[in-house]
Amino acid sequence: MTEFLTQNHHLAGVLTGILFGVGARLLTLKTDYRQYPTYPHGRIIHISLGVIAAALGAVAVPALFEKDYTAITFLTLAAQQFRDVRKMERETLTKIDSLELVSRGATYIEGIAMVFEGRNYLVIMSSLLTSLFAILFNVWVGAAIGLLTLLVVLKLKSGKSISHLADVRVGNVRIDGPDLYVDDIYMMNVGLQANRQIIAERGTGYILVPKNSNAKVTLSNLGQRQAILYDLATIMGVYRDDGEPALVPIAKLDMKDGRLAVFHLPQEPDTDKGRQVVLKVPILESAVRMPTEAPVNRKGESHV
Amino acid sequence: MSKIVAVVSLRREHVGGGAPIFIASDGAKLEELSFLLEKIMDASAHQLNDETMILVDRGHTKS
Repeated sequence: MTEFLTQNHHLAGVLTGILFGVGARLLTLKTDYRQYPTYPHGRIIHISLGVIAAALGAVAVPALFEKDYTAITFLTLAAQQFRDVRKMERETLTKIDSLELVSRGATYIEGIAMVFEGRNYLVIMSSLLTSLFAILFNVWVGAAIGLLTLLVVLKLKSGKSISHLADVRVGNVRIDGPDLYVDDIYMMNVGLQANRQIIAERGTGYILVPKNSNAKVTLSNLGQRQAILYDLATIMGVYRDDGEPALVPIAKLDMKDGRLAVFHLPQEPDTDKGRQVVLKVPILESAVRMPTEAPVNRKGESHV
Repeated sequence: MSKIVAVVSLRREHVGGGAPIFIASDGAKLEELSFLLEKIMDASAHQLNDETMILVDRGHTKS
């Protein structure tokens, strides 16, 4: 076995690279409460693409060693391929979104699509580095580097959640005539007595208090708000049907101090659980803003 | 942009304009008419005052 590995040095390197590349894809492929990628076919698609990505990354190194520099151009092919993956995911999710009771929103979809593309590049990185070290030194060094890249991949995989941005507390849902409030924040006008009764019985509200001025801007993003509503609706259930526009979950901002009020009619009226759900909503990359990073907001620095 | 698809009122002289107007004889009828229209038109009923409701279509946004 060891003899075979030393004789087929490049082959061994490529195989280790592929192995760790696929490992990286499997590590990052998680079907959670959102059930996306769908099981089993959605997963099969992404595992297969992961194998392709791993193979592309792994064979680039021996190609370089053979002084076959044009082989590197295959990597651009890979980039094209994975951009298509992103496009495919975006299109599918957008189509499905129109048939959801509570939609994900374009920002959430873009976030998911971006993750699919990005993770394939992580796979390429993992397999490229693994095969590079496996070929430069030996398979064991390659494997060690492979393990290291898996750790990096794991680290890059996890994003932040609302709990980093805001404190969440349960708000009091109050109906004053036709007006619906969560604590002191005005949500909407509810015309029908029937709907008011449902809201009084089942409505839950949450107040998100941003921790700093960056959080304030990110929370006010409509895509981020829709993500909160979507996650609440997915995990806590939603008490509504098509043709019941008055029962949609909504999120409104208190424009004075940046607090966000969320109103939701769950199937399961457990506000503690709901609060945990809101805290765990992912922060969407495309919604993040950092006004404090602007030169005008930085103290002690010259304004350029 | 949202659109008013119907107006339901107790007082004919208080409402007008381009949307179909439904006149109810009392508060209960106002409620009932608005309820029916909400389900039929897939538009949400909003109360302007005790005598008038409008049905607003928000372009079929699901959220």
